[in-house]
Amino acid sequence: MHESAIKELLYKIADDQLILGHRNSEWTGLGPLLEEDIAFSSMAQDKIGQSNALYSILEQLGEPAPDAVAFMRSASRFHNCIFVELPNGEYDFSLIRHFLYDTAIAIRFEMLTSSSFQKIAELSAKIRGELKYHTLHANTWIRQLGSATPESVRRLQTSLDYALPYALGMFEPSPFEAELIEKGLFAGETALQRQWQKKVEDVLSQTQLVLPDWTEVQPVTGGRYGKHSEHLQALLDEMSEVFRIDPSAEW
Amino acid sequence: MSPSFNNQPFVLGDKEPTTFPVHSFGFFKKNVKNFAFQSVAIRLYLNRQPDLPHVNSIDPRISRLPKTGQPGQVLPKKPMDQFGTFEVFVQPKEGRPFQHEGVVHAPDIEMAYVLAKEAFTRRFTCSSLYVADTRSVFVSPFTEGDQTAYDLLQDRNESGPAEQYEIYHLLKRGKQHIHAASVRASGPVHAMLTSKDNFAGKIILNIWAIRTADIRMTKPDEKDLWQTLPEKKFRDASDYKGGDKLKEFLDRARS
Repeated sequence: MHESAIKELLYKIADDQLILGHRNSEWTGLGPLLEEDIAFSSMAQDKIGQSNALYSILEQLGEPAPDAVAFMRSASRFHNCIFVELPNGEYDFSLIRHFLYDTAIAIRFEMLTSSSFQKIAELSAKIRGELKYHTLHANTWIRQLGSATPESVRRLQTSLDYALPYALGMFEPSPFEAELIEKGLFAGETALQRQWQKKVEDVLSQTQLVLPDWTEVQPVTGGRYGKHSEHLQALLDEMSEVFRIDPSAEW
Repeated sequence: MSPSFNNQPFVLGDKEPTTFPVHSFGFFKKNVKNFAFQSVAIRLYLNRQPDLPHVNSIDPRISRLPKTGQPGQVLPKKPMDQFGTFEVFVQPKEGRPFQHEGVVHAPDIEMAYVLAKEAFTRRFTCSSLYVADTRSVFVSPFTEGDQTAYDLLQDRNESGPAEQYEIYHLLKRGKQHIHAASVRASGPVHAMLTSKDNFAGKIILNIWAIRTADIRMTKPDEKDLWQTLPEKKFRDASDYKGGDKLKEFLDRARS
């Protein structure tokens, strides 16, 4: 059992899902149209549910209970990439992040269905349908708005250009990269990034949006090692505000 | 508003409201249109007025919102700034017929499918879903229940190629249209007339026909979209047992 490697893998995925789930839930009640508000909120709920499932596996491996892990850690102990903690801004940025992130997480879980760590393989198979909906939703919006009006194209392009360096931070290598690959736990960030770029190129080629040369995009990294932007602690304070008033309260 | 008895099927969404029959989603659609239902895609399309002050709110999310105006000031919008509507049909369980669940607003049929999934199947169970543009739903005349809508159909010259149509029945006022048959015909009226003999002796208040090719079905590889839905009990208000908790709290407060 390669416990440290597995724990690091589970923490970074769970933290990504929790933080982006919370960010996306900030749109609840404020979404651009009723149907989209509901859909985006549901997917945020799915992400938090998936993070809970991962924290529960971590608990079985000896880590604290999911609530404590989610609500009691300080920012420097979170393993999420900086991309997911960035503020929502306007809906065009949230949609672009949703597209870039959910494309990656869907491929990541697909790769993990063949992990030698049984519990993550089982979870990955179980949530396949949820992830399929998330990418269907993202791809459909991007195709729609990526060639709708000059304003929608310009807004998405601006958000895309801003998001890409952060998005590449999703693939910051783990300190256990070689071990994860060798033991068949996870095929690795490089393999994931390759598949992700291909999928992103495929969807964007159906729009008027333009991708830069990948080699010219400088990844914004550090998140996987606990180095975050100022936005994460503010998010955590807000997210855990009620929990911290009375951690023993029953909901 | 009185039901239309002109004996000609009409297309949903293609008539003046005065000839639109009173039934559940017609009411919904009519009213929704009158609300400030932001549609033509997203906040993206609103004009920004960056000089306006922020709204003060105790909800931190509100303070972070992009500036779009101030209380009491409504930004101008184009008249009829609305997406079109799509009719949503849900199959609650494998083997059960599809039933009409309601309407979504969307810019196209693919978007309608995506939005319908969470608007109508985010709770309980679901095995499949499909959507059709409101304008591709053909509606028979209505009856008041003493005769079947099939007897009010008038044949008309439909010379299109033979294609598959889906037929739906309304059996009771206030209920949903439920899928009743699939037939091949040269048009919607012929499709209804073709299925008539199969329902002889039954009172059917209203019939819908949709060309199957106009429906965005759930694809075979999308059947797992609802895989984890039965576990999402937390979406059901009763799962929080709010009443029990309130009672406990009050009991504790009293003692």
